[in-house]
Amino acid sequence: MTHRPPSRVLLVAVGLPLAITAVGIALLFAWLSELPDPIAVHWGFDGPNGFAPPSTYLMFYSLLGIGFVVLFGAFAISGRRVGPNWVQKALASTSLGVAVVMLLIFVGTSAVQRGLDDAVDAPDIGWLVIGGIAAGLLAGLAGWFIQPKTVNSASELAAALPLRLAPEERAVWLAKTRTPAGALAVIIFAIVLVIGATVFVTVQSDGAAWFLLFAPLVLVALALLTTSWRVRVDENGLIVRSVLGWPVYRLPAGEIEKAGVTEVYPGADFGGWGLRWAPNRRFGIITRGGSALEVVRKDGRTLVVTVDDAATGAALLAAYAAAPRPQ
Amino acid sequence: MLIRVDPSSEAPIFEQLAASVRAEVARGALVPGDRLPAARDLADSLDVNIHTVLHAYQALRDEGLVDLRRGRGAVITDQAVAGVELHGSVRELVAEARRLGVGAPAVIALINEEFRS
Repeated sequence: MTHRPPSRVLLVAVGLPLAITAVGIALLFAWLSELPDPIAVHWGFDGPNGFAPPSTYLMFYSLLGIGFVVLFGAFAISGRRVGPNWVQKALASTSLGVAVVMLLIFVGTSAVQRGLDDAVDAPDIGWLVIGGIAAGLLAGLAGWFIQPKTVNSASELAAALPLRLAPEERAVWLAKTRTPAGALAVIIFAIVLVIGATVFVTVQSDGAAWFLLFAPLVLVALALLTTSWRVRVDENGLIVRSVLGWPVYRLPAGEIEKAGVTEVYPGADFGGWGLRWAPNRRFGIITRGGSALEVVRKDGRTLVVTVDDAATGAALLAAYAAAPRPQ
Repeated sequence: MLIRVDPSSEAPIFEQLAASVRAEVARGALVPGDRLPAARDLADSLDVNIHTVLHAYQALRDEGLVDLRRGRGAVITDQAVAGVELHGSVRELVAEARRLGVGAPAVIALINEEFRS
C-alpha cells in the first residue's frame, strides 16, 4: 500500500526550499553585472581572502541549493506509510532550514558587494552568517510545525515462529548483505563531491585548510567498513560483522525478547543507508530497502539488519532465544 | 543459508551437512556463485570435526553441486540449479513408476539406457 506523502510534507521538503532557492538564483543572476569580478567568496578575520568569478558563485549556489533539496527532499518523501514519521519530518525541516541559510548567506554576501569596484573592500560578514544560521534554525522549526502531527510508523513486530529443533540438533544460519550497486554509486559520487569541495577550499585558502582533506579519507574508510556485512545466527545469538572484521554487533540469545521480519524503507524509516539510528531506540544496519531481520531486546532496544531470507534467520533466532539458558 | 546437524540421528553428520546444502539450493537460498563457509569456520560453528565438513564438501563436489577451488573454497555450480529444475521431473517419474509397480533398479536401468542412446 503506497500513500502519497502529505502535501504539507511535500511543501516543506521540496516546494518551499525550491522556491527559496529560485528566488536566490534570480537575485544573484540579476545582480551579476553590478558585482565586482572576481567577488569575495571567503572571508577570514582580516577580511575577504578568497575570490571567484560571480558566475561561478551563482553556479555553486544553484548546484548546492538544488542538490540539498534533492537529497533531503527525496528521503523525506520516500515513505509509503500513512502520515509523516519523526525522521521524515526532521528531514523535511532540514531541507527548509538549509535552503534559508544558504539563501541568506549567498544572497547576503553578494548584496553587500553590489556596486563595489574591488571585492577586497567587501565588508565583514560575520553577523550575516550568524543571522543566516539563526534564521535557518527558525525556518526549520517552523517547517516542523507546519507539517502534520508525527505518526509513529514503526509497527509492532510480528514475532517469528521458532524453528523446531530436535533435542540434540544444532543449526547455524549464515547470510551476507551488501549495498547494491546503485546505492554504492551514490555513496561514491557523494565522496567525490566532498573531495572536490575540500580541494576547492584548500586551494582557495592557499593550503591553509589542508587538514580538511581528512574528511574524504574518513568518508572512504566509513564506506569501506559499513557497506558489506556477514550475518550469523547460532546458539549464542545474533552476530553482524563487517566484512572487514570491524565493526561487530553482537546480540546474545539471552537478551532477545523477540525476532521477526520487517519491511524497511531506508529513507523514510532511518533517514538513509548505513549504520542508522532512529526514534524509539531503533538501530539499523541498512544496506538496502526491503525485508530485514528485526530483533527486539529485553531492554527495549531494537536492531534491524537488511538481509535476504530474514524469515529463516528470525525463526532460528526465536528458537535459540526461547531455549533454556545453561546455568 | 541454514545448516542443521543432529548427532543423535542415524544419518552420518557429513551426509546431514550435504543434505542441508542441497535443501538450501533447492529452495533458492543458495544460488550458483554463492560460497559455502570455510570448512574450519563451519566446523567451529556446529562443533563438528573439520574432516567431517571436508567430507561433506567433497561429496557435494562429486555430485557436481559445488566446485572446490584453492583459495576460494566451495562454490555452488550452475549445475546445482539445473539439478533442482530436474527435481520436479524426477518426482513425476518416481510417482509414475510407483503407479506402474516398477521398482527403483528398473527405473535406473531405463535411465542409463536412455543416456546411452
